[in-house]
Amino acid sequence: MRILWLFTLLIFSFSANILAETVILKSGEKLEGKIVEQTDKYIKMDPGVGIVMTYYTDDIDTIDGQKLQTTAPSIQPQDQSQPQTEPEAQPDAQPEPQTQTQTQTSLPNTPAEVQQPVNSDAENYYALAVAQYNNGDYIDAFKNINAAQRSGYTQDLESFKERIQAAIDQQETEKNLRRAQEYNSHPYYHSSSSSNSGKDIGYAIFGLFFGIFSFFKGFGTLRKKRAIESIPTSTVRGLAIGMVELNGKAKKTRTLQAPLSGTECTFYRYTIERYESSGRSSRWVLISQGDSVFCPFCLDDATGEIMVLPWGAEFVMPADYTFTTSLGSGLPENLINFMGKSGIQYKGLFGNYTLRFTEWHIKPEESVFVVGTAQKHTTQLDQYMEKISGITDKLKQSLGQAPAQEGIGLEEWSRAAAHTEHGLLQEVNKSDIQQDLTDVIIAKGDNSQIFIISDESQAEVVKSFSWKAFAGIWGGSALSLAMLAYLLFRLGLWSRF
Amino acid sequence: MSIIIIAGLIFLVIGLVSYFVSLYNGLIVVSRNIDKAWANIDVLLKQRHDEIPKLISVCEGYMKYERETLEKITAARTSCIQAKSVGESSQAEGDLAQSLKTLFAVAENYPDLKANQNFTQLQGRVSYLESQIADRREFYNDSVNIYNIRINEIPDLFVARQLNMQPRELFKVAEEDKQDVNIKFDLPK
Repeated sequence: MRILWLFTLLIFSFSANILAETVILKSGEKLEGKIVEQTDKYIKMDPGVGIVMTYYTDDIDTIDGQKLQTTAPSIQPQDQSQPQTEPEAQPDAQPEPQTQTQTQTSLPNTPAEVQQPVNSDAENYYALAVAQYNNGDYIDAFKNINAAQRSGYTQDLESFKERIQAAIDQQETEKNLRRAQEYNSHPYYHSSSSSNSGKDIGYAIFGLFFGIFSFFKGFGTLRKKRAIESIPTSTVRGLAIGMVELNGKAKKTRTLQAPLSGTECTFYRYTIERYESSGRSSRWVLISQGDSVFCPFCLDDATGEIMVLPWGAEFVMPADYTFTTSLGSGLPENLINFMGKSGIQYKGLFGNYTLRFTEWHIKPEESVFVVGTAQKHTTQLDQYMEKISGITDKLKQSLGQAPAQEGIGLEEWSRAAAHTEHGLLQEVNKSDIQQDLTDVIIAKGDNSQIFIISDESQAEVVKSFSWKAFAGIWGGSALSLAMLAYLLFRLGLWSRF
Repeated sequence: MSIIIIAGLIFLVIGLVSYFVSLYNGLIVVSRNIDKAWANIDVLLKQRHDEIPKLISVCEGYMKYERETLEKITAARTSCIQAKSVGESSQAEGDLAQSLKTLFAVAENYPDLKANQNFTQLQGRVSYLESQIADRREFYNDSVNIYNIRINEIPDLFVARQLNMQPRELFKVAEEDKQDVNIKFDLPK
């Protein structure tokens, strides 16, 4: 094989420049350019771009219409322990030293047109790199050019390297472009292997509709805010039937005790939440809630007292009592008692659950701001309500003696009793008693959407509503647009719109 | 990209329309609140006017020498009924309130009248109505004030101008009502 190389180089040295020509490969590809070197094994051709390309005679069909006769098998570098067609395996490895066969020769018309002695390894690297470049295998070509330089290919290959680098860059760009096109045309191309495929779309759709809902809800809150600002504050003495706004102090109509904190109050509301986590997601789950919306309280503004029935009201109140437990930590006695009475589980296998208790209440003599509907009420109705409340209280007490034995908690029963009470009151309202109306109460109006009870001032309530409206309108629209954009991108429709 | 811009514009248009609708509705509400507040004063005035003849008839028997006072009350009551504008009404109401105060002050000179249960009841009722009326007048003035501020505020101003909304008149107390009450006791000879 070494002899063959020697022979090749000898022929190479005798070969003359041949001017330009049309080469047709066996694959049918037509090449035009200047043949700068021709041997019986390959030709080197400059297509006019300053790069010399090598084609093996085995691959060539005709040169200028003449059939090419191959006289020897084509170069098989593998047989010479030379860099192979897959030089990337050892791109930086030096070929075996072949000092005996290395023949210094010249490469006429090489890119730099500098005739300098090179060794055969370098020549082979170079030839291979050129072939790989022609085949579009730019990275391997680049590696072999580097190898050629290291092996002693002393001619200036920098311009060739730059061209290869440019070709690599272009190839990379095209590859990225192709990937992007594939991504756009196949929405699940990348996500098919993901376990969350489609979940994000569901979240995005939810976010889109939640944003739209928040947007319109924001306008609803804005209307409420403007309504509060539009209604002047009345006095109890001078109030007229209809929408009213009152400021005063809360007074109890009966003794109430907030269930979590045990505070004496005129109104309470509470929630109990349990922290639950599954996988990577975790959240607070509401396990119990309650309030005293069916127990009226009085509002006193120094000109008089009026009864407020909180049922159906929107409460704007900061939490008055919060308590959060962690796994294994203890619960205060009052909470244990309450949960025991209510039949709520607070212990698991590994100790207490992580629970969050929140309570809102209005204490006697606390300032109250109310926007609601002043409407007629009757003493008879009051008496009737007292009677009903008495009955339900008795029922609650009797149940309290044997809590949760029948599978019904006190809380559940309280709610059922409250609903029953309310139902009875509704029936009473419809009855003839209403004809003898003498008293006025503040309650939720039939047609009015606004019924607000707060233990904050009017200014603070308006401020709170302003923020909610702002967040709803701007946040909602921004969320919707963001989710819409994400959906379009995710479904590959972004470029179409 | 263009669909995001269109969606954004839709939000903007809906937002602007909703906002101007809420401005318009808000102005209508505050305007109607004034009418309602005025009408609610009328309800109490009517109740008071209904009480006055009863009061006079109770007093007539005891206060034979206070005919002038009683006639003043009757005349003021008639003026109140005939008053059309807020200004006329406030003037007439002021006269009536003044006359009633005089009556109750003079009644102190008639122990028999003071002992009459009907009179005591009517006096309490009329006094309470007076207080209620005063509260409702304050409420009316608050309503007018909110309206007057709103129609001059930006952006409500633009909608109010389109609707040609004019500032409304506050219920003002007459100058003579601000002066101290001068009570003359015409003791029977």
